[in-house]
Amino acid sequence: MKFLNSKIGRLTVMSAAIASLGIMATAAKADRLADVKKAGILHCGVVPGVPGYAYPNKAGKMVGFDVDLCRAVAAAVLGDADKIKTTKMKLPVAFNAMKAGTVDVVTHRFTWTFARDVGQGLDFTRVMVFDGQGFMVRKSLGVKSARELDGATFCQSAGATTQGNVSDYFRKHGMKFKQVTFGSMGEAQKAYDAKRCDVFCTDKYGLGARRLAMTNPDEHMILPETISNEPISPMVGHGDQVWKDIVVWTFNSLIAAEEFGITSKNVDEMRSSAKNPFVQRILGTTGKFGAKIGLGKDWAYNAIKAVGNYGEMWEKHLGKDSRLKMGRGKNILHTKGGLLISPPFR
Amino acid sequence: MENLLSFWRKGSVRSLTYQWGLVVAIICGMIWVYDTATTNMARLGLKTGFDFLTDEAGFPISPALIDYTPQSTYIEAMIVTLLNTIFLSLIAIILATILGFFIAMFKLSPNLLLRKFGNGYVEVFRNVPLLLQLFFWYFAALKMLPMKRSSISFFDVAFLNIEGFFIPLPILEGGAEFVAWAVLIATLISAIIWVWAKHRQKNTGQPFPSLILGAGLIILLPLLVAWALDFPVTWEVPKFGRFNFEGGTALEPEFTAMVFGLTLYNAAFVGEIIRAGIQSVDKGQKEAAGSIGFTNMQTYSQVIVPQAMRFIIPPITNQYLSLAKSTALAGAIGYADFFWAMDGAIAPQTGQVMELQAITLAGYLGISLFIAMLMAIYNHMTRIPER
Repeated sequence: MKFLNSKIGRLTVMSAAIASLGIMATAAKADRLADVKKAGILHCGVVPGVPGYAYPNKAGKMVGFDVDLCRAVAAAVLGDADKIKTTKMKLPVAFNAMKAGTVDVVTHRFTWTFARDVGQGLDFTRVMVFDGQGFMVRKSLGVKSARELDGATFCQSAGATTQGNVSDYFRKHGMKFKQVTFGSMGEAQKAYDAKRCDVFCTDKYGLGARRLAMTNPDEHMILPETISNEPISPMVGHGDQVWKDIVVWTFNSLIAAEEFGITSKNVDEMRSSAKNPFVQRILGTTGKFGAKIGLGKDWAYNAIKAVGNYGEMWEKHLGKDSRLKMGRGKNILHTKGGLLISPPFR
Repeated sequence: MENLLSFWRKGSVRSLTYQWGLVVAIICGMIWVYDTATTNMARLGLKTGFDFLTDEAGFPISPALIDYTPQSTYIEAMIVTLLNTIFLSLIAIILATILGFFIAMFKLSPNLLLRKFGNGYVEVFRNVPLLLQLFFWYFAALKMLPMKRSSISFFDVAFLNIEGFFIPLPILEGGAEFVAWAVLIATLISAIIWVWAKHRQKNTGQPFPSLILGAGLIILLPLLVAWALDFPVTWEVPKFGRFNFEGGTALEPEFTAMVFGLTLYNAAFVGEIIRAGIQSVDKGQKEAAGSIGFTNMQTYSQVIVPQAMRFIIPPITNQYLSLAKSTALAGAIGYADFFWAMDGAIAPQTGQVMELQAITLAGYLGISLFIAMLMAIYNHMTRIPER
């Protein structure tokens, strides 16, 4: 029944999105900050059920890396990380809901691409996960590299960048492949699990999470190749620069917090005693950064206190404290040779 | 004033005013919707237009009935998947009608067991949501089909495993066109015989086995021509490659599950429609046919069914339309249908949601109108001639 509900839900949201996009003049209001404050709740679109990113815990509450991004924004804007409403959205629905302005932020695992960014009525905020597409196969297949996959069958989900990446990669290497494309990632994963396909493909950090959902995770392995560059970024509606600044700088503060050693545990102590002017500006002890983006002076303090810095979030949901145990790869600070960098708080 | 009132009281004047008023209101409403939509889209910074149709689609489609590669354009992707939708609808309509006919026969059977089976079938299949049934057949099929390394072989030319039923593909050689001509000519001759036999039976009452003769002609003549040309066809037999069978053609489990699900679900409704149609023919007709010595078979084929058809056609047309539209569920189990392409693949890539919705609507409207037209023609042919 879950599938039925989600299908109907998807169609309903889709038509609601279209209707509000086309007919109702209320869509995509110019002042989202005021709207969110008035509503007292932040509405986020999240990926439906991917362990580590957004999935229900034992108590039925949505938790994960993507959910924490949403909580950080809620903490910065409303002062309370729990004032969020998450709606599970399949990829095309999330896309349309964002365009129609029915959600405030989409923290779905969306790859930032030209075609999605330009002329679509939405804006990408900043890259929160540097990912790349990989392949999962059964160990029993005896394949050690993606170059050995000539003639294999792929299971994947429709509408993702995955489809184009696979055809580009195989065309480049003069190899053939067959594919079965499902309406959603969930069905693609089930079909691969039922051995319909030789290969299951999506972004690598997604694959790590999906492997755990297989009947027998140990039967599967992820091939070494990364065939694409997938910068994953949350999205906001196009045209409301104030709101975009708030979301972008909230995310920046989480990365800056890691750089300056601010954690959810020591944030109070740092606020009262830190000498570093950057830390003082982030935490609102000096400067008026909060007021400049229409928030209170505790905006970043609240966000960091609620979800921790980037490193804490990663380890809790994706890294060593999670079931996924995924390494951070390129997602480490620029000071350590990674790609994560926050523009300076100056 | 008195004149004006009496003018207004004329029924025809009033109804015309209402009708035209409604038409004008609908047109104004549509203009308003179009205007707000375009204004809002411009405000949101959305591009509109159909230029994207000739861009490269970038995604593969399987199965494709005509040539298609990821380098083909979006419009080609739409045509390929629209053909998939039509093909699936057609197969499912034919099979659901055949199965539905049997279900109706079971329900009307004097045999208690058959009757109960018919009842049970209808109640189970029409009361479970179609999407659920599709998931059931698809994942049940995946559970039951053999793995690739233990494929079931049929005489070493056809193979069945979890990725599908692999069958040889005929490769036509020179001379094959004569066989096609033979089929055409045989069909034409059969049609002429059928018309002549019909005419003769009407005038003299003499029956003529035109159907059997026609079927024989259509099968035997092309075979004879093919034999004379030393069978101008070779078969590409599937061979096990690195991962699976290659060559030949494959019936994939997604398509099979769709055909299964649509057929079984719709047969329950079709069965009820046919049963109701047959029962609506007066009992006296059957008794009258019996009294002049018609066999049971003749009674049904000559008396009952032709009359029942008039009751069956309108509701069964609705059922066919509903079936064609419900093929849009196919994307859920990975069959590349029209809706799958429009909503699942093209919309997220291009973001041209409004345009794609318009094309999708037009596509399904076209299919539905086409089915409705065929059924209307058939209805016209079988109606009671009025003098």
